[in-house]
Amino acid sequence: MNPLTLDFMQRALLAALLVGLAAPAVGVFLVQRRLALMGDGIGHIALTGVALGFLLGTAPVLTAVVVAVIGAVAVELVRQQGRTSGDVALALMFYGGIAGGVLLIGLSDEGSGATLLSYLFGSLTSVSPTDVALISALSGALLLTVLVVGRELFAVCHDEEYATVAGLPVRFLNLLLAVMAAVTVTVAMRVVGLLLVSALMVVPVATAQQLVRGFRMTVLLSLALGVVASVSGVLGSYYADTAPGAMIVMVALLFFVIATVGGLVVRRLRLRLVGAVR
Amino acid sequence: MTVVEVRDGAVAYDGRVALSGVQLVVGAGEVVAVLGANGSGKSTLVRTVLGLVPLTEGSVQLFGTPLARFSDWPRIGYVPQRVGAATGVPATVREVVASGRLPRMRRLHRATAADRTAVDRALDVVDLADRARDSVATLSGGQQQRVLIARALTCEPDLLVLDEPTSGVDAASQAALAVALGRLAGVTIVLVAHELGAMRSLVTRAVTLADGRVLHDGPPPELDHLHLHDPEHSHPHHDDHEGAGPRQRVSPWGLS
Repeated sequence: MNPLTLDFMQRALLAALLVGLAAPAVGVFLVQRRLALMGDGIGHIALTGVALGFLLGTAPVLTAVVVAVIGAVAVELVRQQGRTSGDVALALMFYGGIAGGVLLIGLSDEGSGATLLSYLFGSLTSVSPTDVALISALSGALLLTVLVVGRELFAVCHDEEYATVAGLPVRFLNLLLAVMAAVTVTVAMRVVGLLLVSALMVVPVATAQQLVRGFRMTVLLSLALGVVASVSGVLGSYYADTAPGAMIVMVALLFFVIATVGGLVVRRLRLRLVGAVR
Repeated sequence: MTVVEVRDGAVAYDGRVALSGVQLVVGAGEVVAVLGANGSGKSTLVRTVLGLVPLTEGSVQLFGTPLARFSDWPRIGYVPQRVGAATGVPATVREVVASGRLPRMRRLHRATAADRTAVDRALDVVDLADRARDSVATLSGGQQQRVLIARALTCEPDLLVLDEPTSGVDAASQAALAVALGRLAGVTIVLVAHELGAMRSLVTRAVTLADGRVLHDGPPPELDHLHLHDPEHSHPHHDDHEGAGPRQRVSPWGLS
């Protein structure tokens, strides 16, 4: 059966397309700041949000956004105070998020370990029309924000101290990036799942780095790679009947391996050509 | 005209005194070297001037305006003390240098011809126009330092503050830095250094700090007071006194 004719697959593919664009667009700034694991930390926190949604009987996506944003902002504030190092703050998020999620889902009547699993690794059938509307609006907002303040974010993530002296609103931009990362995590949660969402923010960026040398080119290539990985991952998971998150991430990682090996070969060939010319 | 004025400046980190009773006045067009050993407070002094470190006592004025009210940041170019210009994601030399133009650009507007010219000019000053499209990570330590200087120059500053621009840079690259800075006629320069080295010919005044206090303020010393430094006859220990951290040796490059 052609999966494109199925309503739930159309929704899943549209969501995958948007997530594939939004995740690397935000992830590139996290990688630039060497905070590649930030998305993972927020993903864990968002799990508490999902469980809270089940406990309160409200939409889990909504509570996930709220809790993830609060968590990301808290970590950013802790980092700005400079009392706790970034990696310790992240570690606290990981533990608190998972523990909170499992604890709250245990207290709720509705949710179960199986429900939680669909949020951890994504689920094709669970993307509702409301989810698609929400994902479209949020990922649209994310991409627009990157377009508008991308230059400023680049400057701050490249050199925070320089940006401060240049008079840029550094604190605001850092908080904005934390909020953007939190929103990205919750947007991608239905398709990729909370445990793997960070991979879609990081792996396409790491892949693009193997092939190009400029920041702008890295962003554009990682967006393309993100879309191809998420759309083909969703299609693949339909045929293989597996969780889409796992398939998407495996495809993205496959690209990374190909790009790394390909990049090495190209550089070798270039060196040899230069040698032959001389 | 007074560009920088520090009166009775004092800074303490967690109760430890880093600066105390510091007076510093820098006039327009001066090239002032702030010298001193590690921990003497020289970096703290310039970071205080830029508002990156709060004063515990005293006052700072920039271009006659108290620091708290100062907002004309495009007039200041800052070259922070850094190991290199590369980060987690590759960026071209031009991309990094162009980010220095942001303070002069209108928010939400595309770069104008004037913005692009300013970037081109800054790249020319540091002799890196031919590397503009290369990734900064592929440049030598001295070249990366010049990228950061070009970034600071793109907003056409009246005051250029450089924190240890010569640290971790070999003698030939230091000479190239001096050539680049020598091209900036009329720009007031405050630079932090361990020793004058290749910058000697540029510097009009030297301020030496020790234990957070000004030890000497006047014409640059004939010989580096810390120790002799002669690039032609460098000794293996010559730039590693007081544990300045790992130093990169980079290959010398020629001026184009």
